[in-house]
Amino acid sequence: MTYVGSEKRFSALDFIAGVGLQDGSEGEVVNLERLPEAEWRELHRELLLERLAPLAAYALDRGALTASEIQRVEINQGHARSMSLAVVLEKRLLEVYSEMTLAGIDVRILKGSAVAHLDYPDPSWRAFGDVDLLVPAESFDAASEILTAAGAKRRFAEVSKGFDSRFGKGACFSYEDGLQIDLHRTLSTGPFGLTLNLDSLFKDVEEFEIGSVILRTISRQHRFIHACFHAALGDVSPRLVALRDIAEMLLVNQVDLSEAIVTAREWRAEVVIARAIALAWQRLDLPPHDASTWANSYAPSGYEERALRAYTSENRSYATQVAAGVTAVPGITGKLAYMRALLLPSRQHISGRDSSYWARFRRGAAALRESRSSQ
Amino acid sequence: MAKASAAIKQSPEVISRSGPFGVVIFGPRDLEPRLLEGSAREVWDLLSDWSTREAVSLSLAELFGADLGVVSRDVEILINDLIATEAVVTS
Repeated sequence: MTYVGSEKRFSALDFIAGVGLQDGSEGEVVNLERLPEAEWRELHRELLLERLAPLAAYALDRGALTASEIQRVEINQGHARSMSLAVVLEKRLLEVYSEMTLAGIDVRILKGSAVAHLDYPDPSWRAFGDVDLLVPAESFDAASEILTAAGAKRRFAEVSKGFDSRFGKGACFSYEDGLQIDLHRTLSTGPFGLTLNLDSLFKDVEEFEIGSVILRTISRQHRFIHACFHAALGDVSPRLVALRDIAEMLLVNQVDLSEAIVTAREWRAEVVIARAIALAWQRLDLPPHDASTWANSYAPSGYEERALRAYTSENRSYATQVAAGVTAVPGITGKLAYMRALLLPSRQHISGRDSSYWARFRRGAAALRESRSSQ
Repeated sequence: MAKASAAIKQSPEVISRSGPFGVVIFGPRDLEPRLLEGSAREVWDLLSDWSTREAVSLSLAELFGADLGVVSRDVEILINDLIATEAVVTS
């Protein structure tokens, strides 16, 4: 049994994120009972932030975690709250999905809800905080209008007219009640979002059911690649639940890694898969596996190294990622259109992100310089 | 209100999640999710297949070793509420 003291607080978090993944770890038990109150508070806060309350409840239930009665109650309350949010989000998802489908939009559910239902043994193990939808580029405006008509407000205006449907990752919409929907055209901002094959995401369909409604999502292999995009290119320090998704898909669901690598290679994004797997194995302290061996020995191309820097360098920002996307836009005409949109954005977009055209221009030019100097 | 002997069952339209905490359900006419704990969760689980109020009450009274009359009254209140929000359907 392991006593979790102050120096091991975050290893308890990592242990919970990886609980049940390893065949040989059935007997491992982590004990939280003697954790000082202040440290328990911090660990509990982290559990909620990392969306790990369901896995902590599962670990308690199977005896992999021991806790005081108060800690047990708080973990179970956190699980109940996260599941309440999940069902509220799924109710909103059904409304939006139905409206978009009725409007003839070929919508796909991404991440949270789809992963919970299809990639975990029980959807109650996977918490999530928003709804993610993927729509074809040509339907992006119509889908945005449906969300706006339903009362959702777009967080940032489109960079310039036509940018979303041609180059953008998507847009974030918030409702008055705080619920959020991320509407995607592609899976990532910047270069890696511009080189993937969007048609293939819509061609390979998988279905799942919520409240007797059949919903469409992307294929298992594409969900794995998307999970890697999210973990490797999203937050500087990815949420543990995002890393758990990767390990769950590889170790439990036996996603075919070699097929995923072939797809990622076609999308010029092998390095994204390698980085995500390496992060997951390192943070969850998983034993060596074919996937981690491949990830740790992967040698990225020059293009991949430059593209990845836009997401991982100390100066990473939305601007650097978007600027770095220039290299991934095909053709001179496309590159010029992309750069023009970035340097001459709409007034609405500027008022949301920058104070003036001049500030925008300086920021855009700096991001472009940064992108070039790293090439 | 459904007849006392009518067959009842969880509505397939309910969105739900369960765990050691109980079960959270969001019925078609619910305005917010509802947390069912303890014996209420047992009632919900018993309604995963077609049943009747009487059968549910009997099972629950046996499970908790409680008075059937008291259990029946509690079950009646809960099931009426679940039917009102269409979380439970009748045959």
